[in-house]
This record gives sequence, structure tokens and C-alpha cells, in this order.
Amino acid sequence: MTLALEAIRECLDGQIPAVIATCDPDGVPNCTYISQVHFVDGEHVALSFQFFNKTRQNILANPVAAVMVIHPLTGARYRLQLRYLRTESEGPLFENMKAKLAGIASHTGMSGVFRLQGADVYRVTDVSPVAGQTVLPTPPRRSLLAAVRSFAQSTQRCNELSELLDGALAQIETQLGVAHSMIHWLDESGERLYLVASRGYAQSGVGSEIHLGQGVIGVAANARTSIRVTHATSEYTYSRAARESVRQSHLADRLEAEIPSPGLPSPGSQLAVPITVRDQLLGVLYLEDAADSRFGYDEEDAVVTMAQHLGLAAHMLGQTSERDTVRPRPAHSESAPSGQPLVIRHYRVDDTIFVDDGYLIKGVAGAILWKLLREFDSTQRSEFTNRELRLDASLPLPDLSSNLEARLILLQRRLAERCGHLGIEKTGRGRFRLRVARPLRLLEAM
Amino acid sequence: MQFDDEMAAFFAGGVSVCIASRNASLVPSIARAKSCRLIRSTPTRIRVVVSVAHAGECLEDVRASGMISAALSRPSTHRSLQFKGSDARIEALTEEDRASMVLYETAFAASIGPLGFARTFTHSFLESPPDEVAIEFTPTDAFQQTPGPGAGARLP
Repeated sequence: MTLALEAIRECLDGQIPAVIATCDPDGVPNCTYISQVHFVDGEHVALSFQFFNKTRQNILANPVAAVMVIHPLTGARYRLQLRYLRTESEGPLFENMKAKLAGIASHTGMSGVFRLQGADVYRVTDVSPVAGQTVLPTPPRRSLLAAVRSFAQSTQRCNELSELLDGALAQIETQLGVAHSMIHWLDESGERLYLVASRGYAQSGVGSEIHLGQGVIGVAANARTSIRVTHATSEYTYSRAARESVRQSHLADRLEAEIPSPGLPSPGSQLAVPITVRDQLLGVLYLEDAADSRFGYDEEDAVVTMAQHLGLAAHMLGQTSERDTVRPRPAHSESAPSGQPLVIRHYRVDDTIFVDDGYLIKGVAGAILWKLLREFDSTQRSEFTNRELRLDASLPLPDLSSNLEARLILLQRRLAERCGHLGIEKTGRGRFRLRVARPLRLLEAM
Repeated sequence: MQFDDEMAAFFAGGVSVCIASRNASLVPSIARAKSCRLIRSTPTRIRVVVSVAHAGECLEDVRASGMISAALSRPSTHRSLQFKGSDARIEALTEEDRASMVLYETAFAASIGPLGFARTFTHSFLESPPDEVAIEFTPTDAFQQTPGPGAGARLP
């Protein structure tokens, strides 16, 4: 191989159609345009299998192919010699190509025509540039290694999960210039993700949910692979995924329970990357941009590495959160609840909580709030620790301590956005205070 | 095979043109063309121009086997056709071939310009050493290749 396949990855993003040549057993060559040549690793590419056509007949009978790909900016052309190995019709590679193909189809007016049946995996036996060609210069680019270095350093400075998550999104804006991003955390059921931090949207959308398998975020979580879409496609937009998640949930009949999701109406570029630690899924980091082709293979690698640092840092915070620290109390004196009572309604079936008829929260965060409010109501106690919540058998908490922390962030942010009379304030690592400004009227609803 | 005025217009309408051949071991090879036109003789023939340097092994395979496939696609609509022949031969460039390259670049630039490719891109994309040759063949088979369920259908 005269060139490393990694060196020409930018040609493998479907921006300019590639061409494939095959040959049947009778020696008749076949030549056709193809929408997607996908980089798998340094020795393999995958082509989209959409229709059972002559190319497919040929490679099944004579498994060698020649492909020409084009750099979208410089116009440089490269020839790949390929040998067909196998077809995958499920799993990370398939999901990755399916999402990307949806973007390419939409971009080229082929939505509803392009449909991925399989990912045909080929070994690349040679990569060579076309001789004698004129190649345009590449524009200068920001250094992604420097961006990753800065990001990794910043994750080590955080003492709390909220700081870590918000800091990560701020770093992504500073280092990559991506202004719209969000982090979803996996909930205890393992079937849904809820939004815990976002940046760059008019509404934070904290608490809005996505089912696994829906939209780029849900697909990335489900397949445990990064999903990158290079052109606008209605099939994978975040808002559509969120809408469908609500439609499927048992809350569909309580319309007010839908937390409006943020997200650009028609993002040209999307990148969703699982946040994992030791193969365990914590959540998904999602970036989007209005422009097409904003994220290439290199940006994907950078964000995957950032997400790994984020997962590790979140895990380490969970490991050390038992060592509580105490923050100085705020100087202002606490006043007793006064005024009209706040009516808090709790639905036991799913721990949904309504405040004065407005939906606030549900699930584990709802259960936590209900416990805190009842405790406050009966004993006037307002100081709590993460540890006592973790030890409370009535709360359906998963074993990962970062999940409790993420729930508290969600609760804190929902209260800040929806209910000024209740609040959660951190008083140290692993400690917080419930702020109640009005008398409570707690109702257990059926 | 029918080559009417509509087909001639398709050839002249700024289509992307690729050719393929194969060696004695049936390993395929591929190249891009610098122009493509119909020769309205009896039978109708197809003539493409390639740079020797750009075409590389593909030109050698055409020379040795006479086997060729030419795929034409209009980028704006994805309308695509493939023509196959077994009597391809390589010829020296004529004045008409040179004129066809100039017309081709103009038409191709007009075709991909609206898709965001500047004239400088098209020019450098088609530029080559002055080593061009022509390949001419009689199309004996033609196929519809526009993406979709009808792709692969043989043309009458």
C-alpha cells in the first residue's frame, strides 16, 4: 500500500460520490457511482448495500473491486483496491452507516430511496493517488490534539459532576467552536436517557427524555458507537426523537408533562458519542451545528476521546464523593416559609411531581424530591447528604454513584427553571440544603 | 440500442464520466474521463478522452482486453447510465477531441457549480499533463443506473 488509509479519510465521507468497478466471471467490467465508502479501520472500508445490483452480483462471484474516491476540498483522487469479506446487517458499523446514509440521502434528495440493507466490509489491499493530477491546497485547520489536551486537563480540575458536565460543554465551545451541545445521562431503567446539561439553547431542556434507539443520541447509546451525520436529515433530528419518546411513554396522555427539548430545528451536522467507563454506558455527549459537514472523522475521534475523559472523570468523582467536604454556609439568614401554601402532588406510580398543577419532574428525581419534602414537612430538616439518599432503600437508585449525582443536578436545575419557591443548594461535596420559601401542602395522588 | 437527441443532450449536459476495464486475472481497474461524446455513425459509437497518467492501469487493461464500461451520471439529478463494449481501442487525439474537452469542462463546471464547487475546483480536477488519448467503442449494452428500484434495468 503506497498510502495509509487513515491519511485519506476525508475522502470517505460521502461528500462527492465515489465510483466502483467490478468484473463478472465472464470478464465483463461494471462501473457505477456509490453514495458511501465508510472508513472502518486502517485496513477496512465498508460500502452500503442498498439494492441487489450488478456490483453485488459481481463481488459475490469475483470478490475484487477498484474504487476511486475524491477529496471534497482539494479534488485529489485516490484508487483503492478492495477484496470483499462479509456483510453486516446489524451492530455498531451498520447503525453508523445507516445514520450517515440518511444524511447523505437527505442532502442529495434521495430520502426514501436510499435504504441500507447491509454494510459490505472490504479489506483494502492498496491505496494510491491518481498520477499527474492537480490538487488544490487544503485550508489551515485548528489543532484537534491541542483541543483534546485542554479538554482532558479541564476534566481533572472539577470537584462536582455539575461542574464537570457544564465545563465539558464550555470546553467544546472554546476548543472546537461548537456552540450547541448537550449531555444526556442514562436513567435507572437503562431504556431512556434524560438531558442533564446543555449549552447554546434558549431553553435548557433539562429533564427531557430520549428512548434508546431513537435519533442519533438514542442510536449512539443503543449501539454503543459514535454516530456522525454530515448533512441535515429529518430522520435523525433530536426534536423528532424526543417527540417520539414522549409519544411512546406512559405520560403521553399528560401533555403538560412533556419537557420541551432543545435542539436545532434542522442541524446540518450532528455527532453523538457514548460516554462510557469500563464498557458501562453513563450517557451521551451530543454536538450539533447548523452547517453541513462540520464534523469529519478527525473531529469524531477528538470528541470520542473527550467523552472517554469525561466518563473517567465522572467515575472518579463518584469514587471520591463519600469524602464529604463542607462549604461555608451562605451569609443570608434563612427565613421561615411564608405565604400561600405550595400544593405538591405526587403520583406514586412513576414518582411524577406536579407543583401547583404544573409538571415538575418524575422518576428517581421525583422520588428524591418527594422524600426530601416529606422529611422537611415532618421534621423541618433542610440539610441532607448524598450518602443518606444512597442508603435509602425506598429510592430506586442504581449502583453507580454518578447517577445519583446526575439526578440531583437534574432536580436542582428543574427547580431553578420551574419553581422559584423550592431549591436545592450544594453545601459541600456530598451535601446539600433544601430551600423552601412557602408552606407545603403535600398530596399523594392516585 | 437507441441514441436519440435526448440521449445526445444527456452526454453533452455536464455529466461525470468514469470508465472501468479489467486485466487478464479479472481484477477491475478504474479511471475518470476528460470528455465523452456520441459519434452518430452506424452503429453509434462512444468516444471518451483520458489522460494517460490519470488512467494508469485502466488504459493498459482497455488496450489488452478491449473490454470497457463507461458510467455517466448527472450530479444534479443523479440520472445515471452505464454503457458496455468489447471492442474498445485507443486512438490519438483529434482536433474534435480537443474541442470536446473544452466543451466538457464548461458543461461540467456549470453542472456542479450549483452544488458548491467553484470553477477553480473543476479546472484543477480535470487538469492533466498533455498526454491525452481517446478511447472509442461500440456500446453493445446499456443500463439504467439512477439510484432506486429501477437501477440495473437494461435499456432497449
